[in-house]
Amino acid sequence: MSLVAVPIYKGTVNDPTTFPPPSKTHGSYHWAFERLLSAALVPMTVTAFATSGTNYPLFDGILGLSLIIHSHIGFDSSIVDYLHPRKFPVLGPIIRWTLRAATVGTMVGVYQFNTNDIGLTELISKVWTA
Amino acid sequence: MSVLRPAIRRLAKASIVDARSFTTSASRLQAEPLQKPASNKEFKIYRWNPDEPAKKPTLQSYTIDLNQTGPMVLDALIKIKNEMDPTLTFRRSCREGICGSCAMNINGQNTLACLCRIDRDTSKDSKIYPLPHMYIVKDLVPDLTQFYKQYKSIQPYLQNDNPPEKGEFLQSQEERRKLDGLYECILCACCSTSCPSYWWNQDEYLGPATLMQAYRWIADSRDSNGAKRKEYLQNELSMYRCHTIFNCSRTCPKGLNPAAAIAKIKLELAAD
Repeated sequence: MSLVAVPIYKGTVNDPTTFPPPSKTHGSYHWAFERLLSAALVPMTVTAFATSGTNYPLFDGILGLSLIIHSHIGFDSSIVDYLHPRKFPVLGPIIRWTLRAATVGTMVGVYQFNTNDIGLTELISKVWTA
Repeated sequence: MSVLRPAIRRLAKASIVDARSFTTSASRLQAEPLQKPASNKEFKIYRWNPDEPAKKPTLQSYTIDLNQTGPMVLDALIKIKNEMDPTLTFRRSCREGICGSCAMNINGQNTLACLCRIDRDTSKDSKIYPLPHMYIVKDLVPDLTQFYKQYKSIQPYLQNDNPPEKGEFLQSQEERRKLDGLYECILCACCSTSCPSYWWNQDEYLGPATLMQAYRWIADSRDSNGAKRKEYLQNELSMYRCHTIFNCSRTCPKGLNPAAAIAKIKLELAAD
């Protein structure tokens, strides 16, 4: 049996590696937004639970939306780490669009739940004390 | 002839006496070597031979007497190679932690074999593997080509189109102090190969060692290419695959802190 070694590097051993095209949206803006959102979730959660979901549906709605975006960024980061399309040309895009669909679906669901039912904060309060 | 013989005999006799007195007196003068009991410790070392590529890598066991060995793991490896198995292959050069050649995974921790003391507990074996998640050339020798290509990509040299009129670039003490803890890196690759992000994405993610050197040139007051250096990192993969796991700072055999350097780059990019 002969094994053919396939090096992961491109070009000769003396060529430096190359960088992807620069994009602040994928770089520092993404990072700063992610960190600020994570930090903002703390006061948002406190506010939503200190007030009542039925009286202040705005806080409830903002918390719901922020949680979903926060989760989306987290899952998206896992996909970039483990299922990046450059290594998984079929599975990568499929899973990426699945995540987007799930995020939009969850947003619609939370919106419906917050407008037509008791809302996210009160649900968690009830389950917590149940 | 017959006249000379007694003289020769006398000379020969004298030399024998001399020789005997020299050896006996010297051995009497020397201290008796301390007879320490044998302290046998087992080393299990990763073996893989490229000449037999179909054969799976194995752990080979060697037992050596710690009282006949130097204190460091590198001493044990050299003893094994010299006295037991000359086919054992590893890199080493300076034996004092300045060249970075003998980086390997010893008992689950990436470190330099020359700076890592042998655990004197003989009831436990010592496991020695090459740096994790790298292509292996042979035994404990990893292929660091990609690592060096990445280091080259950050252009690790001073770039400034406006050199001073005469003399050299001057730095204040504060400016110079920014480089402390950065320039000491010996590029042994212990940190990069301990980073899970680097394991999964080393074709694109630069890894802590290279990123710390990128920051070493961003932080240098004499360098004027900082904007370009930062722009290179403005993408999803080159730097932002760092998830602040801190394995790099934990494992660094030189006691440096690559994670702090990466955090400073992130801060500078966010403020850009």
